[in-house]
Amino acid sequence: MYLALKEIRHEKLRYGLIVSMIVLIAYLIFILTSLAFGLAGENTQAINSWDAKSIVLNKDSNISLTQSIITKDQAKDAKLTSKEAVIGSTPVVAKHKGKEKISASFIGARKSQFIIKDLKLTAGHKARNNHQIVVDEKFKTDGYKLGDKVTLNSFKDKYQIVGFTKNAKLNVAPVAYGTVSTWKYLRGMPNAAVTGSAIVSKNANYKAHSSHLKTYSMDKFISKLPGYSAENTTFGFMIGFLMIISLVLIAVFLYILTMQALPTYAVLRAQGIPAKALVSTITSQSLVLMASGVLIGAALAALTGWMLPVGVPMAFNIPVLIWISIGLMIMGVIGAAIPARKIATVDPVSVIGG
Amino acid sequence: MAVIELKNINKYFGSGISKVHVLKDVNFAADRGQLILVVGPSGSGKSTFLTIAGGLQTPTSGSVEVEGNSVENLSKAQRDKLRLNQVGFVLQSYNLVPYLKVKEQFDFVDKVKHQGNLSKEGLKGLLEQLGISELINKFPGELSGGQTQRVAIARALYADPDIVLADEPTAALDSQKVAEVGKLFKDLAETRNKAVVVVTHDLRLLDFADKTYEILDGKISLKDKEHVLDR
Ligand SMILES: Nc1ncnc2c1ncn2[C@@H]1O[C@H](COP(=O)(O)OP(=O)(O)O)[C@@H](O)[C@H]1O
Ligand SMILES: [Mg+2]
Repeated sequence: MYLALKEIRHEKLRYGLIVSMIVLIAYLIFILTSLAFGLAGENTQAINSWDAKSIVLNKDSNISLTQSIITKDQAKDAKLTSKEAVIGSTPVVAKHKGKEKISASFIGARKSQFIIKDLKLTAGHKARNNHQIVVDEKFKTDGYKLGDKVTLNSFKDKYQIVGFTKNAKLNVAPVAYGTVSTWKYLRGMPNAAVTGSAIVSKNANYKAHSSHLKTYSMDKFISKLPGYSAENTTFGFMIGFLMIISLVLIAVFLYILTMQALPTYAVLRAQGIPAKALVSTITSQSLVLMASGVLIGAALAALTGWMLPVGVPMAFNIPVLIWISIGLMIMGVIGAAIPARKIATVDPVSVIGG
Repeated sequence: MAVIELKNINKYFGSGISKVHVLKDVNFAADRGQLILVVGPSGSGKSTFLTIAGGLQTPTSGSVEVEGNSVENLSKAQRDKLRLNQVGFVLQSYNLVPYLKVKEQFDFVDKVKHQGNLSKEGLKGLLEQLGISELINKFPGELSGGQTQRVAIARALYADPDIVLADEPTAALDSQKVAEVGKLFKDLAETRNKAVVVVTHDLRLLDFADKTYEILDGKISLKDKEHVLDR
């Protein structure tokens, strides 16, 4: 540690440059990770708030909630207990004169079942008839108020916002909770013998007893949300790649410095300084560089999160970010391994003679 | 008793037709309090001799004894320890850690070797003897060639070794500095009771030696200095 810190202090410019590179990479990783979690959250917040384990969909729906229709006939053998709830879902565009249009996910559900029963409101009350809706707070940030009457899609009917709820997003759109009848109306089949789009259950092994219906685990269902897996794979790929870039960066940097300093290391070995002491020098240097880069990067990311407008979906998942920081430190140790090997095997005789 | 002794050392490099016999039946002994010079032309085997004496290379045959203990029986770690505790090296270059101030070069020795180093007063005396007391806050890059070598000598002596091994320590110095360093080595050997072994092709150091060996084509022989100068 003594040599490690002395060298860094003596070569401020060199080490400053490498730290600034690590800062940029760490910052990018933190921001991307938070965006990934933010976006994933906007895809699934509403689903997560239901706290359900499984979902029954029409087996021909390709695991898509909006494509799925469950008829009364198909659902006739499905036993609905307090752990099940019927939902009808369809994308809608909400409009109100003089306000911005909002693309929303309409979810029709029964008052008596857990989705509406357990719904937590931040203001107002739950829908009491087919022309009332409870909407996500995104509507509020966009200027909508309790009592506003909005139209949905191109229907003439007006729906009154009677309540706000937090963290209700599905497919990156705010949710509007209404009744199943309203959903049927919005789907253009007000009188059809249809139960809903899906039955969600808090029971992982729920069975609907119909050859036309299939039960999926919530995790499976979420992974099939439009764009969800592709998005997460892309983010994961970018983050992994940045990790590897940080590894190569620190390895190349330390390698070049080590090769330049090899004669000095050889003389130190000749003087009887144990290889272990020298290897720990390069390893602790790598850790110091990574740690300072990660800390500054994290501070910048926090600052960014604080300054960004509300609309940007960023979620700082602290445990994950801590794991990523640990990952970067491990990259530092691995990056120091090659130069460390060079130092450990340097032949003191190589500098004697000439 | 000799503090370091080499007995019947042979060293070969390579194998087959490229095999070279670099040291041939070398016998050598150095006592405390003496400056011993090993002179010879370039390529005669001086550095090979010195690295074998310091336990950095193993001879093909023969034995090296430091204070009566043979070096070939030691493990790698024990040899590191031997060099850390009993041998001080002074080389042509790279002797100092470039990013440590002169005084930190000694602090660093303290970090690795926790006991048996010179005391604060001891170091102060050594630096005065070497005339480098004023340099302690400078980095190696700020020193002249002669100053660098004197700091390197101080660094080697700080761990209070029994033996100092120097390889071409005057290569980068002008005649006046050579005389200074030669006198220093002799004084240090005497006042500090060290065995100082200097291998060099620099005949200007002959005046300061207590004992002079000549090495030619890997064969070493004890000479009186007039004889070496005669050549
Ligand atoms: N590792 C080695 N492999 C092969 N030959 C070597 C090696 N080290 C030294 N030699 C040869 O041994 C001879 C003596 O080298 P050296 O001890 O460095 O001489 P000096 O220090 O007197 O100039 C030279 O011919 C050199 O080429
Ligand atoms: Mg040589």
